[in-house]
Amino acid sequence: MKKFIFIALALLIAVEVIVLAVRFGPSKDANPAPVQASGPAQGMDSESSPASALPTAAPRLPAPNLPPETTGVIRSEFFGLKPLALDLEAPVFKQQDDGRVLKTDVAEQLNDLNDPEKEPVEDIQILTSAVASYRQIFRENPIAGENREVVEALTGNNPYRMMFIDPTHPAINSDNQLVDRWNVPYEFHPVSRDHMEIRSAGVDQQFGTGDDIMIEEPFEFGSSENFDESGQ
Amino acid sequence: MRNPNKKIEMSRRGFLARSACASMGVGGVVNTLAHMRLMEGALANTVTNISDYKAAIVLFHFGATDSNNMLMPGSGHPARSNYENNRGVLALPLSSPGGTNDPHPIVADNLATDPAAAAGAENFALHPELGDLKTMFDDGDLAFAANVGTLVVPTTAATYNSVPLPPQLFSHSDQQNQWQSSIPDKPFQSGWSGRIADLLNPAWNIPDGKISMSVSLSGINDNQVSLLGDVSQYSVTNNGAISLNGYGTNYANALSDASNPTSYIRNANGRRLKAFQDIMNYTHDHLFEENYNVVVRRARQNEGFIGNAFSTANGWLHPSAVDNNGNPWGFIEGTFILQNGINPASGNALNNLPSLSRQLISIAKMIAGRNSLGNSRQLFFCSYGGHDTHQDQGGYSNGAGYVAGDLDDNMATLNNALKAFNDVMKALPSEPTLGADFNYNDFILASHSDFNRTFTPNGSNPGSSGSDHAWGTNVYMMGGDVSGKNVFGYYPNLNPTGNWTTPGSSRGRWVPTSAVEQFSAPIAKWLGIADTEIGTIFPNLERFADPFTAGYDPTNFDSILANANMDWITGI
Repeated sequence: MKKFIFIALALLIAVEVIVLAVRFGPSKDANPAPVQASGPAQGMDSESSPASALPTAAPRLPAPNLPPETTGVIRSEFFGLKPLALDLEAPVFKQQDDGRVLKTDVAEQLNDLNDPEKEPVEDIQILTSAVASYRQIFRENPIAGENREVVEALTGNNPYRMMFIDPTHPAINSDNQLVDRWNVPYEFHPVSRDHMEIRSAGVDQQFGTGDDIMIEEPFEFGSSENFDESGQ
Repeated sequence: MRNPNKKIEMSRRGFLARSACASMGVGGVVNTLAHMRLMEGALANTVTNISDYKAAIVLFHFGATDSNNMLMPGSGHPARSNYENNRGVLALPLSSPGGTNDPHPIVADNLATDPAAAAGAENFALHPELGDLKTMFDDGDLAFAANVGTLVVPTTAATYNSVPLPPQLFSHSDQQNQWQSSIPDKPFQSGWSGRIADLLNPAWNIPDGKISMSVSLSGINDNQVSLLGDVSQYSVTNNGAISLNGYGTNYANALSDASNPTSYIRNANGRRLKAFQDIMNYTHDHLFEENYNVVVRRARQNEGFIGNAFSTANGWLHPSAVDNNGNPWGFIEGTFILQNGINPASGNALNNLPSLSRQLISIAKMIAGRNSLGNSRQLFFCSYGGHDTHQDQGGYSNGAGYVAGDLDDNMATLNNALKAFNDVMKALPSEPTLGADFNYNDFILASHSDFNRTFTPNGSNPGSSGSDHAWGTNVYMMGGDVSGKNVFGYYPNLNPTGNWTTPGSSRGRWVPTSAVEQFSAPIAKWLGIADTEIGTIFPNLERFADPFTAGYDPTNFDSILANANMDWITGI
């Protein structure tokens, strides 16, 4: 056993010496210019690549039979976690003329958003459900610091070009923001990649007052056990 | 179960063998190299006493401070007009009617003398509650670094849509984690302080029997997570070490002498404590059981070391602060109590201090009592929250005037805590006993924050409005070796749709011009990490410009990215 350990150590030290010689040898520029990020060649999660190798931007998933993507920021694959594999031919997905795909079950839920017949807190639950649906497919919340970016993600600016809400929904205002039943934009607060707080300013239309409407914990849209590969 | 009082020791050779095998099995080449480098330190583990003491403190602003109101463009600064035009009710006027809440103007020497800097770029102002920080800045004890943030590669607004970005930008917990690891493009394994501890602990600190090199005043944190698992975080409360419950304060119900763990009192508590300690002294074949006992034994040992350090520091008395019993406060507590405007003779003077002051008191005591802790290199982590000012941030309008809010409270807390801590550190070298071999430049404190906040407010009411999540932020550094009275990095303009902000947003979110690792690397170097090992601590650093260069073209993003201007510690 001791022999094996010494042999292993010797081999590792030899590898270290060689790598250090290559890395810090006289030909190395002591003050290398910053690397421009235009042509990365290594994957983000490749163990065999040097730690400092540039990662690629998250590769975008092939979307057969879809036209080219629209503009905008598309980020996904949180540390290599691929979006859920989906059968986009399943009934729950409805192809749009512009190439986007409407997730009909979530969109139908969102038809009830801001319905005066329902309680305002149900609006938060519906929106939380929509974000949770996005998260279950893309493994993380929309990368969004503000309302408009959440709307963009939910209306197709994502790897599958999937719409969770119809862009013509009456709750989306002319600034492309989701507004509550009092026409105040909802506040989307990204706490973590799987926790998005959503708040309505309430009747007084002022955030930070006692009538604000929010739910403290994320509303569970459903567990992975009852969410099949077709996304239903 | 084996014989009591017999430790299972692991030889250095065993450690090396185990680490090498582990690295071959799980880590691949990258981790193997990292482990091999970290193992170098283990070979030099012959420290018997502390010398050349240095302590680095990370102060994390959890929740994300609006740092453009902490360090705002001053009169004549190129970004001042953007600030006034775009920050709405969050824009604080440099002078207002009555003038009681005016920001404090400061001038950055490095920018005033930099021929490349734009005219007026040296003029800044500090938040109205940071009056003492202005003095500290002017005295050269404090500096700022502008627009620092998490980056995977050098990034500009133009490349924002094409280069890899840190995962989950704008998300609190993810960005907190990435600031603390400085490796945003990898799943979390360790913090940058933890990796420094891995490398420095064997070479600088007394092995076995003294406290961890990584001490947290803020519970378990990511920053001090060790890569090798060899340097555990040790959490200390505002009152000192965490002791076992049920035996009274400092074991007064079970021990006749708190510093002697075997001075059992002949009562039920004394017998119970003795029985518990005897059980914990058994060794076990089962690794779980053994490690459980090791943790408890180490915790009891650490209690003693921390207690000694605190006791030693408490012997340093304040010349004027007297408590409600007529006894002088310790110098450290007294300084913080007076700085916070609390009557030292009030019954709850200490408990009425903000948590940040309490944390820095404990850190100051451990620095003053450092000889009891056995570490020549010490890392501290502390924090304070409440910075997520989506509402009630505080602001100004012509009609309402200055309306104080949560940011004002936070800045006042910060001002008092940093001022008192700095005063204690400056006084310590003159203390006849505790100050021996301690210099004011033996500590450095550096701040972190999740991210900055949007340029534009989210409302028009100065009383209720706030700001939202952004990216690149301003941080500060304090200590004798800090190249004070300077603003490092680059402070871009505050045009919310300009060339320095993320596309797709009209709220104004700086793309960082300096990466976390460029900001933090000087700390590692100051602590003693060799140039050849900096890459072990910050594996992504070589993607960015050398932190220790300056001389940029302020109109050229690429020039700024190529000249980090982060050489903020003197003499390294």
